[in-house]
Amino acid sequence: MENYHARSVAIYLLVWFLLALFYNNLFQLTLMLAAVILLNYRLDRLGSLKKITSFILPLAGLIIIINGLFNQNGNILLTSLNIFSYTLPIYREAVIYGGAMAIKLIVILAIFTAFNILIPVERLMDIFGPYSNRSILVVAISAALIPDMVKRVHSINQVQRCRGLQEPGKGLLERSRNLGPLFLNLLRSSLQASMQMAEAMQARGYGSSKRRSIYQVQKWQRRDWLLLILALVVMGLALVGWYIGYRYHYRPLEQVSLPVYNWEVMALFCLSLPFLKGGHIWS
Amino acid sequence: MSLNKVFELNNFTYYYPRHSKPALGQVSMEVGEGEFLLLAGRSGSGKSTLARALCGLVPDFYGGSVSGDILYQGVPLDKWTKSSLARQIGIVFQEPDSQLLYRNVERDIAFGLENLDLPNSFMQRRVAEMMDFLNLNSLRKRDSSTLSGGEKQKIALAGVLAMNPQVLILDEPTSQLDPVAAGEFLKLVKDLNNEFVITIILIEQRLEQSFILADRIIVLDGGTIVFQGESREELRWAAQQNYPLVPVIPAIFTGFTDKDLPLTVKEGRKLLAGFSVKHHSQLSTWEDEQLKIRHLQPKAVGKTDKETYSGEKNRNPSGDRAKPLVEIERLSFTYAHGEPVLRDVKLNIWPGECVALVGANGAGKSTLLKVMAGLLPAFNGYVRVGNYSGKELKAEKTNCLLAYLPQNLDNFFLADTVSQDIGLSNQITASDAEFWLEKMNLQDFREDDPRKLSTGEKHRVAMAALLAANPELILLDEPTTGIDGEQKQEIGNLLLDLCRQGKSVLLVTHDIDFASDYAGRLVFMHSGTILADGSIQEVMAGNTFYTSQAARLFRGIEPGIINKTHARQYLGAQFSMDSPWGMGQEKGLDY
Repeated sequence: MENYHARSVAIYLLVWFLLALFYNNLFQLTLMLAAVILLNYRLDRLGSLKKITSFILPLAGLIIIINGLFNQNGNILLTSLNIFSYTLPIYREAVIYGGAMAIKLIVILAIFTAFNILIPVERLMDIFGPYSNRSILVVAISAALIPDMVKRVHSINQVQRCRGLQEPGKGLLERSRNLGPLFLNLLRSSLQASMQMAEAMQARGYGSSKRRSIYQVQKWQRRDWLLLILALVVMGLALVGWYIGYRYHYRPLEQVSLPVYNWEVMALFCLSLPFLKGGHIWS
Repeated sequence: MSLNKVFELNNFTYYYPRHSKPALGQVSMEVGEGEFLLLAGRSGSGKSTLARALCGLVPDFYGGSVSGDILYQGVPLDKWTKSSLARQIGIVFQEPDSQLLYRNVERDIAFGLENLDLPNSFMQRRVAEMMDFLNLNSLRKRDSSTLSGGEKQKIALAGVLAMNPQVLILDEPTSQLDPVAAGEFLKLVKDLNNEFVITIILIEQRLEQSFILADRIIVLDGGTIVFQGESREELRWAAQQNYPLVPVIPAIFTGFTDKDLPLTVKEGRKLLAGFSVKHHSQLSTWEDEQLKIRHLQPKAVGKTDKETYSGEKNRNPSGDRAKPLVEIERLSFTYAHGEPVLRDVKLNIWPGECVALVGANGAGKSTLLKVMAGLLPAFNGYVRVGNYSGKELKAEKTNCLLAYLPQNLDNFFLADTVSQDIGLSNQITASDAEFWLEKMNLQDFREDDPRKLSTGEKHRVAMAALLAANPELILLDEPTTGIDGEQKQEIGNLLLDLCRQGKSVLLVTHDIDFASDYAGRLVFMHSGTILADGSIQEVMAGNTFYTSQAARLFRGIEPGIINKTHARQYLGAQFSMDSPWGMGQEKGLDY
């Protein structure tokens, strides 16, 4: 994918992102998860994704638990919990919906890790071309800070464990509660780092003139047109599918099955093609 | 000043936003074209603020209020356009990571040129020139996040130099580099000054090399200039004022000569020759130095045998042959998808020892510390810390036994105030927290946010938070980075105090002179392997670069001398023996 223009890759991944937001079907999302894991595997053998596993898996588990416990929209009773003489029903729809949302979260984060590998800050700046303003500065710093934050989470966790302040906790809830101070510290130190980076950028003339040149000008090629068309067609198909009434419903719960002739599944398949072929099918 | 003025500051005063005390007060100074100026002073004296004021970041980036003028080439700084300033005045910061925006090295060097909207062909040429000049071609396609600290600092320098600045400001650029990389970097800066007449304004805490390189020194204290002049004038001024800003070599000779104090080891040796010190030229080989160390009379350096030569004797001050506190055998460690970082490491640490671990950036020193702290459990080999070994060696368990101070303190603090942060752990009682708050002189910062303190103050808070838990083993990763001589002395004395109480200290440092002052044992690592481990005298005698200034000065003369205190005691002893050296007695100045 490094051979493609930054803009075509950005649009392509944007379509992935929108589809992840758009789909609710557990099966479709699982299929999509498999595709983004494959994409991440091809890019860096899951290196980036593994770094955030310790963070996203507890969060995904928490989503399933909270949905199961507090989402009372359901007809099929799985079980009931007796808490202080109060009966809390757990519905199948709520658990499945929670599972789908958890997968959706992982898919979205996996798309971001792929984005981060495929479009490093220098390529992100190329997307904006010769313009330099504060909004682009914020985008650039945010993009540069994402890998930095992953490292920082690790570092904060290590230091706090050594200080006896970051007990991992036994249960999921305890573990999640202990993450609170870590996030606060992460936010503070990341903001500080972003200020340092912004200062270094200003010292090197960023924003000193309205236009900026690009060191390595990438040409928009035929393969970029093809990638763009693919992304737009897939997005169009998804919208048409939605318009003609194909929507997944959790209540009443529809059967979670393989929608063989579903356009969206075909679209997902098409989307994964460039990666399956190593990004060189049109080059 | 005969040179054309590049900068002229007239009563420049600056207040950071929401601060009632000025960071810079009534600063008046001039900088000539092609001058190499050293800005020195204690931590928090305003050096970095002045550097930022000279390139326009203060007050433009930071806000705050100013009075007085800064003229650049005779024109007030605020009359220059931002792009002209960025083109003409370059700044390299202390922290290499925050300066490299791009992952691609070549692109990062071009970043400043892109911002100036220069034509593509011109940028290509300029970047190629810079990479050739700084010998960076091998890094051309590397991911900047995988580079060493020294390499990153060179890339940051290349990015600034590519913009062809008239003035280069360097804010402690070598603070995170090993001695060899730091020496190389400063030599490069001097070449730029000599060959391209670039005006250099250097802020440094490592005074040894920068004093030699600088044409002139400005000393800041509390935001005001307290001295401006040449290096040797500064030495005389500091001696008169008893000001703690003298490099090791001149500090050794202060009070022993009426002549100009030497700045380099070579000048020091000449002075010693003039003192008629006998050279043991026949004992110049490493083997002979070792032999001599073993037979050296301890009184020569004013310490008892036990204090001077740690070895087995100092390993256990109680005299009891108890087992070591730390035992490491055949340790190897590899990060995921990487090369081995530690290879077949063997290391024991006894109670009461202060051990310094030195080596180049990337040698595996910090990784070794993390393994000992229980942060990297996936190691091979045998590691025991106290009663914890194997799978039991986890930070959650060992934190009651050991304290680990990381190099970067940005991620260390959790609470909003200093006093809260020190007492945050359940293992720390309120009285212990209060005791360490007072012991580390932090009462005035009790309600301050620890993140907003100076580097030296942050170190003190972090040390207080760790030591309040009463650990047996203290692991310190670069505790002297970015702090001044006085603060180093405070930390060093604290470490000695802890060792006297039977606690063990393992200190990772690039500051060899600090290690020589306070450690009893020196461990030298290279590429994940321990190549030398022994008393600090023994190891320093065998090293060329990883050795102190004092050891270099007395090499072949008195190999047991490895620090300033030893050297001064040795010279003092010679004077008291009615030597022909002239001064009769030292003046007792203590730096």
